[in-house]
Amino acid sequence: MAREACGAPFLGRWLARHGAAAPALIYLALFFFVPFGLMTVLSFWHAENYQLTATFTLDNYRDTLTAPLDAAIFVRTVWLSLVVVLVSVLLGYPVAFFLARRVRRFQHMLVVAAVLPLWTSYLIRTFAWIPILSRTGAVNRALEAMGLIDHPIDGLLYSQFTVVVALVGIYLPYMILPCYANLERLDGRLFEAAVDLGAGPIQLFWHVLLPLSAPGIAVGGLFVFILAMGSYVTPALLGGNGGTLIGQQIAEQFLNLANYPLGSAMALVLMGVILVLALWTLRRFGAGELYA
Amino acid sequence: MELDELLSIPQSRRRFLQIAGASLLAAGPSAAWAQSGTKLTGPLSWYAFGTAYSNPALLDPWNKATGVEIRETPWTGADEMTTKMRAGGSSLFDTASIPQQFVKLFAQQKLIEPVDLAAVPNYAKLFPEFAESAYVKFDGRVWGVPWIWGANAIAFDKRQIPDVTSIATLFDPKYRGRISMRDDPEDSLAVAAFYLGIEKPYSMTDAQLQEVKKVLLKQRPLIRAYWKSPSDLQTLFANKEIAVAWSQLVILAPLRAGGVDMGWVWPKEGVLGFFNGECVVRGTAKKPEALAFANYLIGPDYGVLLAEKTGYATTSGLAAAKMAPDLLTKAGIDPKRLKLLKFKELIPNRAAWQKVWDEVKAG
Amino acid sequence: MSPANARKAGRAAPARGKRRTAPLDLVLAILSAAVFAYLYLPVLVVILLSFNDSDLAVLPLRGLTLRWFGVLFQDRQVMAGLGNSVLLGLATAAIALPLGVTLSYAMVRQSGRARGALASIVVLPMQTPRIILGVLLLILFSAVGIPLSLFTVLLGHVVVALPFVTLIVAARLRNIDRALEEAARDLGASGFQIWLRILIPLLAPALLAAVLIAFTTSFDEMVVSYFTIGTESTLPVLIWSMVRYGYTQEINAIGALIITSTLVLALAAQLLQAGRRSLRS
Repeated sequence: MAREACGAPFLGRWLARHGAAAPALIYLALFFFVPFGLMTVLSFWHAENYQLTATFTLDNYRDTLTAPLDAAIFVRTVWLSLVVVLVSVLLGYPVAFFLARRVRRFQHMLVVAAVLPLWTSYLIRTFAWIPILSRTGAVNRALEAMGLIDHPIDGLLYSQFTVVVALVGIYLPYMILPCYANLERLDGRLFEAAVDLGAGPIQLFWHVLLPLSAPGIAVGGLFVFILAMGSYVTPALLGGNGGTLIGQQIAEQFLNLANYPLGSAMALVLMGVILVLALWTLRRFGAGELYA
Repeated sequence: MELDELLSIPQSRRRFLQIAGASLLAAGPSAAWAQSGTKLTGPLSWYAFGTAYSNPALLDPWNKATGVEIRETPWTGADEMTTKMRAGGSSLFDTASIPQQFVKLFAQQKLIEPVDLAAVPNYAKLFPEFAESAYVKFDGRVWGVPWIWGANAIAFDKRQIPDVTSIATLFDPKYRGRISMRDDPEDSLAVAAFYLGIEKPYSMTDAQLQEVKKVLLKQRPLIRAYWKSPSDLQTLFANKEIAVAWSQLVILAPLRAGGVDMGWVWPKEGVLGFFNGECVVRGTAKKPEALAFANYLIGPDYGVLLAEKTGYATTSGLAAAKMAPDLLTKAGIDPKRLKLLKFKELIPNRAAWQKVWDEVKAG
Repeated sequence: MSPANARKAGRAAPARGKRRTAPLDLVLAILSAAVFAYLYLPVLVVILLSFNDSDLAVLPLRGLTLRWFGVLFQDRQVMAGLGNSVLLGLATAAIALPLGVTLSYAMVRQSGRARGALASIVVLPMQTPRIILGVLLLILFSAVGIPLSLFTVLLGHVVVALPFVTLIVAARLRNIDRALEEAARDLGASGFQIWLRILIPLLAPALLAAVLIAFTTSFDEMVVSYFTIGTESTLPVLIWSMVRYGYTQEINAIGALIITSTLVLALAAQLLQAGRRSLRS
């Protein structure tokens, strides 16, 4: 028995150390990294009238970044995503703070309640904004009944405002959760000490709470930014003439226009922006939070 | 059987009974496979534009007679349809409902097979305008079975605009923020062309395209939202977001059922016509089923249900024979009207059209 | 003060601080209530509309009816889509779990740089917008010539679920002392036995959570499915089609049912946890 115990466990240990990652890595290589390579190659090809030509051209990238129509779409997407992140922080952070540090009895239940909507079909919920925000919808009717407006507000629906409202409504839990996890773990003694040292509430917030909350906000912000940048369904349903976003453009290239090269270039530019931002965020605010 | 003959029914009861009797004998799917003797098995993958999605009852007679499950995949536009047909072909679909202007193209690109008329006996009872149409009958073969036709025209909310006769209403600043157009150059550029009085929208010169672009750009601030799928348009009318739109027929029935007083008009400047040919996708393993299904679509049952539930018109003389005169009028089965339609054609400079449309949407 | 007491004191706001921050607390409470209302407003509308006696999804309600639920249960397409989604969810969990567990083991038991590298790799699919994931897979399947079907959808769902599974398991694995494994090995246990008798029982809560997350991620997934699906349907893809082609209250009825079941499940989970806690104390 001792003899067997020498050989097999050693092999087992070696396999365990170096082989364990293999199945998952192979899977990701096949269904994530290899397609990424294919997409990169495709982005330099040319497609016209459903004919794909293997060549090397920078036209697709030039188009995405500089052609007035496509570049405008890209800029608009970044701008809108930043707005969504900002609103999510403004709404989500106070809620996370409240739940983490001011609520005791129902804390767990409320956190679950905040996250629950994530599993209730965002498509159907997105469509539900139409009867709420339309000219004859709930909001306009209520405002008219209260005498606050004379005629219905047009811009509530089929505008960029609508897209922001809907996206924040879907992505808010992704902001609340990391902020909550972060805030919940903070040691209250730090605040005690600061107060003892004479810090006023504003100083407490700016010099103690905010820096300590930064990792949570950063992770939440990154999540929401990525989600907003890639959003495709919501702007299609609610955006109206507000202008297409890059997610819709990519979908259009692949599904309707069969222009895989242009679509690939757009997707890679999008990915590039996200990766740069992700790296910067994680480096600046500490990657530990993400994997803890 | 001629359309004209059909419409003289009220004047000749005996004639009507003759025609009706003869067509009832020629019946639908059951006849088809009684002849072939093969057992049909499902499921049959059907690429069409969503009728079965919104009205599963349309397939009830087929299901009862054959038990073959029809799995419909809807397409919203020509681009999407072309891409998927080229990408998937028979691995995805067995039979496809192709707009008339694409049938020849798809035949040339070897995406579809010619139709074996022996297995589609009801073809003989189609209105000749469709049976002989050059869109589906060429090179000595029939490549698609025309089964549905209609017009894209103007839909309006009678509570907001009592009457509409002209295409100019769609460009009228009086209705700013209450207009919708289709998010597809195939329709919208042609509509602008009608507005400008251009006779042949689908053979526009570059100069004409630029004129069309100007007109559409001027229209843009008047648009509440462009619609991509019929459901978008239906939602716009249902929520009273718009008063008038360039529309497909399919939204009228559900809106009227929901209490919206909808009007429908073929404007005098021009109306876009279409008909679909049911085609067999090349390489499909379910050829007998596909042909039997095509036969059903132009049989006596389907056309009636189609008109009753959706208001769309059938190409089938058999079905028309079974319809009451007011149903015939409602579906617009009238030969004089066919001549008013400008049937959609293949756009020779597709990329140019797409570019104009992209520029219009970007504003 | 001992560290434990200090912690407790820090968490429970002292009376002095409480008085000072009371107005702020009120503001926070109101704001939180408003945010919750914002989050749940669409949910409320969906449930309301599912009872609407009208073909059109417009407020106010035209009347109350249960007929949409009847339509829903008789709709063969919806039932088929639901069945497919459930199957896919189970299959995704079944595949993602072993892949994720082995990967997280390698990640946690490695040192420094290798661990960092693995962690970065794992997180990449999470940082990739779903539309790009969908497009990537479409490119792959087109290039290799694999016809689109529920199987290709499954392959995509596993990519989406894998990072979540890995991170959940890794979080718990990190807290399991390596010494346990070393000791077991010294006593002659094989790798297999270590897994079966030690690691899996200790990881059980995380494994359960991972299975749940993998299932729900797959069940809810629309965009990736849309790009990789053939002619079959999953529930989310079907809903997307219905929303675009035949929008009736049936969709809201589906939504109402999904919402209700999620709420019920969450409630059940809470009660179970509370029950277990009271048993222990």
